[in-house]
Amino acid sequence: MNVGGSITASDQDRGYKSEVGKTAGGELVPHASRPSSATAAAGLNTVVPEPFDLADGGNGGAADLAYEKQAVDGEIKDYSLASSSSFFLKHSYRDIGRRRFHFCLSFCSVFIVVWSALVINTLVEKGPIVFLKLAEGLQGQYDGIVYPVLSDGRFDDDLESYHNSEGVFINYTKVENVTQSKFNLAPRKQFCDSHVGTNYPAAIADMDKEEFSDYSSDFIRAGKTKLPPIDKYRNSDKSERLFPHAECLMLMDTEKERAIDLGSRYTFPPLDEGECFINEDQAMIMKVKKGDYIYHSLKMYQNLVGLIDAYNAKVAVPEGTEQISRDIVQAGNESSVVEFPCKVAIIGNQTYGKFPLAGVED
Amino acid sequence: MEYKHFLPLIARYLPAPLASKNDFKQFLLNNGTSTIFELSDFLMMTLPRPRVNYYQSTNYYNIQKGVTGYANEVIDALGFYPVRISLDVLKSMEIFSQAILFLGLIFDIIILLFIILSILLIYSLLMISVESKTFEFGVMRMQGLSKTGLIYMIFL
Repeated sequence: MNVGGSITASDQDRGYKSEVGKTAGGELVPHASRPSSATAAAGLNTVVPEPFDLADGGNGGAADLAYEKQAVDGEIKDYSLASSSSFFLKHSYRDIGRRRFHFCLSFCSVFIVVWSALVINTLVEKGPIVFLKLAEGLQGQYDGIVYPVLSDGRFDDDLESYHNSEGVFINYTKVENVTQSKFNLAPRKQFCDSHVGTNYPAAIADMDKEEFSDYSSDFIRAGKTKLPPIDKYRNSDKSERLFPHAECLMLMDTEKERAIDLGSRYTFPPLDEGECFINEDQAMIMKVKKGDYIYHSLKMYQNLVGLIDAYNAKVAVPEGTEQISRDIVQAGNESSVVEFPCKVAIIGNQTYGKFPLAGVED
Repeated sequence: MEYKHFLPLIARYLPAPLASKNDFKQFLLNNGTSTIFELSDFLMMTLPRPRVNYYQSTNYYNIQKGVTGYANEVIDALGFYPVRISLDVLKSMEIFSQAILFLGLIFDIIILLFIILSILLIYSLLMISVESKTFEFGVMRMQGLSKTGLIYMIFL
């Protein structure tokens, strides 16, 4: 430390020694009267003591001291900010060494405050993403559902039990043409108010290999799947054709949905012809496993009417053949109910972001 | 069940009145894939990649602005009257945004408490340090250290 102390090597280097601390006559004056370079640098006052001269008993030194002050004022230069800071830093460093506990305590308190501020700031920033994931878990990994408006202007936006009761459809092909595939949209069909059962395996268990082969080649093109034939199904015991479990059958286009990031957790390949996906609870209730057949009973009045209209418009009218009347199917009776089997290909244990959670839990 | 396989599948299982219509059955087998797309019940919509960006703001109104902006573009393209869009995730985010605000408030209070505590701690440590070094400071002052320099040294 060189605060007002003795002349140091650095003082000498700066050329202070020759003048500082001496009177005009070359006599030494007390150190206290000599403002050091360090004090000057640190903003220390230039202390000029009372006249003090040992030679004349303290009475005749005023002139000498005045000279010394001039010399001091003329020669001593202020320390630079860096030098004084360096001095203070060294002093502080030594002080830290002396009071380590105090330093650690204050450092830790500041560290905890800064760290917690950063963590909390990050948490608040990431909060929406966390809540988005929560919302996706409840609602599904999609941002919106485009519903057709019904004839009276209302629209049913309850996906969990959505049932197209009025036959108002969205033409996805046209939507793609109109929007030039600019938007992330994928079509879905849903048949709620439907039922599913597993009674039929008992019926086909009686079939021999040849019989099974006959109908399977007739049923599905190229024999890709071997689903039971409708005749066999219809001739089976009526009591076995019960569909005790309510369901919502949903149709989806796996590839289109994957392209728009809908349900990114669904990593299964697209289902093949005659295959279906069911959830774990449903499989448990029906006691089916992968590879078993289940049977759907869908009320398809509106859809069959739509298909008849499409057939008339695309085939019957252009070709001049007989048109099919809409009255051939009646709402609420067997003429509009389609019953068909499908093979369980995937038993899922979550929504995969494809459906609302409540839809699966129901 | 896969979209494109549905009509070819039910073509084999049509109810009795339609099962006898071979042309109709053939129509479903041949054109089923395209026809079923024309009879979609609803369309699922996702936001453009990266969709997370739309939900990153801590201000719900910014999220709402982004999502409804995109939905409005879709509505605009499809026609205002024929369709409606249900934004279920946004609805959930509206509820959660209250939680985000509340959490932010709680966290701010915690930080404030931490800051007050650390200020008190540092103040007391500083006082202890100053009081225990009174003599040392006195010597320094005597040797010519100015008040400013002293304060500078204490806070450094």
